[in-house]
Amino acid sequence: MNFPPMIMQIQISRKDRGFNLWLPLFIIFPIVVIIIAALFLLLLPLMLIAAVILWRLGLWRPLFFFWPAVFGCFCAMRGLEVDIDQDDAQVFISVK
Amino acid sequence: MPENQKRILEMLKDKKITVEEAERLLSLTATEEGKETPPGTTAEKKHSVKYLRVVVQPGPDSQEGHPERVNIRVPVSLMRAGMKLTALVPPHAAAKVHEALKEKGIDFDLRNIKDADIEELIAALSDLEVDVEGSQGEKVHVYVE
Repeated sequence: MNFPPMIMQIQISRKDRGFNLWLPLFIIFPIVVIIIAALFLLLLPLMLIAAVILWRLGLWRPLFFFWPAVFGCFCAMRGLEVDIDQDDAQVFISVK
Repeated sequence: MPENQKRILEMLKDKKITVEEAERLLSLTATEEGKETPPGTTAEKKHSVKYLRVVVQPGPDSQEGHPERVNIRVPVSLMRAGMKLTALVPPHAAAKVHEALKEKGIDFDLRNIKDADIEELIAALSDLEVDVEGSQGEKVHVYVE
């Protein structure tokens, strides 16, 4: 698995105005992880009950593996770049 | 760098051969290496693909309001991670997807995708190059780098 991205740059510029935002993911990310871990621990008993009920439908898997998969996608985002340039506006998103 | 290529470059540096000769020799060594390369090495080369690039460039007759220029670089690792998400699709939903695809004539089952298949698919991407030119002159270029 890749190391999580450190910075996300969002740049939107128009004719009259624009902004350039540098999101320090290395600061936001640990906070989000702590919140998700806390929620996971709080909801674990409910999730276990739900997993037992949904076992036959095969829905237990997304319950437990969704967040690790999302984390995997998040880590894999490093290097993503989207650059759209129109007549009067430009959007640039980069994950570093 | 392989020994042969080094030797050619050294000969060029010492002015023993001309640029054209060096170019010809280098292309010959590249062909020979391609023949000698074991299958595993080719696969490793294919795995070195890092990004999928989608570039849309406007044509001279493009309408106003349409995206003028699009340049997207998607890491292959993100595609790999996204494809692994299919493992989370509930069985009944995957069965419905399979049925819907089968109706359209595509016999493809999400549940049968394995890690090895994903790797094979990504390795095959190294040969991908799509070049489309629209009616208004706009160009779409999809390639890997």
